[in-house]
Amino acid sequence: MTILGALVALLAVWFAGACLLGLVGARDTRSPAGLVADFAAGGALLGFVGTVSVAAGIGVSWLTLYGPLALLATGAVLRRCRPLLRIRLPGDRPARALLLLAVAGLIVLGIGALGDLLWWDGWAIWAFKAKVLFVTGTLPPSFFDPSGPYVATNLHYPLAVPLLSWWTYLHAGASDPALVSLVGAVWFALLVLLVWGSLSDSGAPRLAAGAALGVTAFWPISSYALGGTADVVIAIVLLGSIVEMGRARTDGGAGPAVRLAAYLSLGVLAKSEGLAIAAIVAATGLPMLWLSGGGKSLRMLGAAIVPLLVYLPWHLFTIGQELTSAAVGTRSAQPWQERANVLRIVTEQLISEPIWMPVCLLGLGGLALAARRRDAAVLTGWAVLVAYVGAVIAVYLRTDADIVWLVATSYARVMAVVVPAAVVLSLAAVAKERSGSETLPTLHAEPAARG
Amino acid sequence: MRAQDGIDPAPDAAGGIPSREASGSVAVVAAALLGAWCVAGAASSASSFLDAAQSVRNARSEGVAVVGIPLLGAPYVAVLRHVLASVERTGDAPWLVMIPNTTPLVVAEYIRAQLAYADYPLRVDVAPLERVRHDASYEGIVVVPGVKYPWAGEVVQVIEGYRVYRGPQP
Repeated sequence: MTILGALVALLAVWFAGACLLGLVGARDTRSPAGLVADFAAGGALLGFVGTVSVAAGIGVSWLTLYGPLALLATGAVLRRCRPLLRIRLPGDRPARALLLLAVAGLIVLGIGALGDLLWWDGWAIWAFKAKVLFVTGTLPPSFFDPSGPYVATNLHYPLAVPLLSWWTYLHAGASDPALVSLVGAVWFALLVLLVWGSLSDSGAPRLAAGAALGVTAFWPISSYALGGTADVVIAIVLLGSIVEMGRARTDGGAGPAVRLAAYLSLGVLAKSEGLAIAAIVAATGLPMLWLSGGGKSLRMLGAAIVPLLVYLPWHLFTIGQELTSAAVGTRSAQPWQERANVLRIVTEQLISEPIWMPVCLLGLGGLALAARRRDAAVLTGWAVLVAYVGAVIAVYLRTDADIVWLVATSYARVMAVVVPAAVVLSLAAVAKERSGSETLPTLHAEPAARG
Repeated sequence: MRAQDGIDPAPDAAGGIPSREASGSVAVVAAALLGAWCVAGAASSASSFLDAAQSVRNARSEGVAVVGIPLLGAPYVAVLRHVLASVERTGDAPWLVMIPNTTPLVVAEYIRAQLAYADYPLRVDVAPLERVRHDASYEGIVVVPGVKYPWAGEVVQVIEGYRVYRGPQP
């Protein structure tokens, strides 16, 4: 019953997102990535309503999601929106075999999650906040005391991730940490689906299925996802944003812009990294998109503004509570010796395990290929990705915390966020090289490129 | 893969026609790197998850499963949960668990966080004597074996060598 309750909770989140996107005519029903966008929109909705409820002192309850869901579902029925998705499996047998292996891996990981594989951040920060929400129905003012006993839970972190865990606790009727692991496994499966969906129309079904299998087998993502951290959510936000920006080049409708706003809104409500992605998309991705002749609409501007508005209540709340981030320090710069130390540590980590080598080479090759082809869609994605890595390195260089400790405890999770997007962008460039420009509905190149 | 996918060569972005061989070799290299990544990842994942699964089993069998993976200080936590569950607590004031001065701070933090998760909304502070907050008022104090209790007070319970004190504090 506990697991059944959790699955009902997650289904409600997906359904709320599907209704929300359906009502504004922004649902993607043709690609597997559409399912991920639905869930991201539902997660953002739960995160926003829950955050406002906590900040306003109302507290959270069944109504936090079922209230908006009732309204959205009524609207969806009136507008005759259908919550259906058409996911086509590839006709190519090897591709189907690779996908089957990926699904088998996901099932194994899902079973592992039931055994509770939470990592420190998973239970001490995210699961703990979910437990407090479950026990008290809110996060009481005493919880946010900066000198109080719960300061180690990173009080300033936004609430989308613990709210989703609380939502499953509520349906399951118990604050079992294994449910947080299970939610992480679901996020991870959605990431794999997004990777496959991003490439599934590329005309290279085996590369698409291989990428899905590679992500499934990549422990820096799966172990931290099952460990209950928020990094898998950030990985989805980063890749989903890049995909929707690519789609906006050729789709002038509301769909890509609204889905981009949904991904970015989920990101800003999940973790500080999500705020960084929203800022990077607004400052780098969208201008590049416009300069290359795509996505010139007020909707895309709205996609950049909506996440900031969604984040505003939490931002005001943290200011009111005088909560600050400990990770971003006040130093203007570290000494050169320490900067070099950061590079040395990162390099040592990269060569310490064989899993990093193929994906690093794949990323470098994909970037070179995109640059050689002057492929604006893929290069825009790379610009966002490189800017994100730059932002992380800037935090490393400015932090007041011990650099060695910070890099050692975060580099694998940073790679977990970056690698899926790098793999998709690299393979999109390879697929375009093989097939020509027009066969990529997901990450379009300009039709004019055919000459 | 190209033949099976049934895709004809098309002009590249610069207007040139990429040769079948050139685009094919790019795809082969990419597929090889992707395959190497899948294999290395699967081997690495299997190894790390088998280790984790073993840890979970150990944690469960030792009865310390606040969360699955055994954490720093888990042996303390296993007994402390039992001790704290055995004493009468009103929740008006926190309890203090006094640990040896030699305990690393990170272990103390892990113990405190595990007890916080298990006991919320009841509060437990965890500190060695030299770091006890003297501005705090505790409902009771649990002293782990080997630690000398420095104040007057009544031992109300002893469980597996862990002494429970109530009474005057500094």
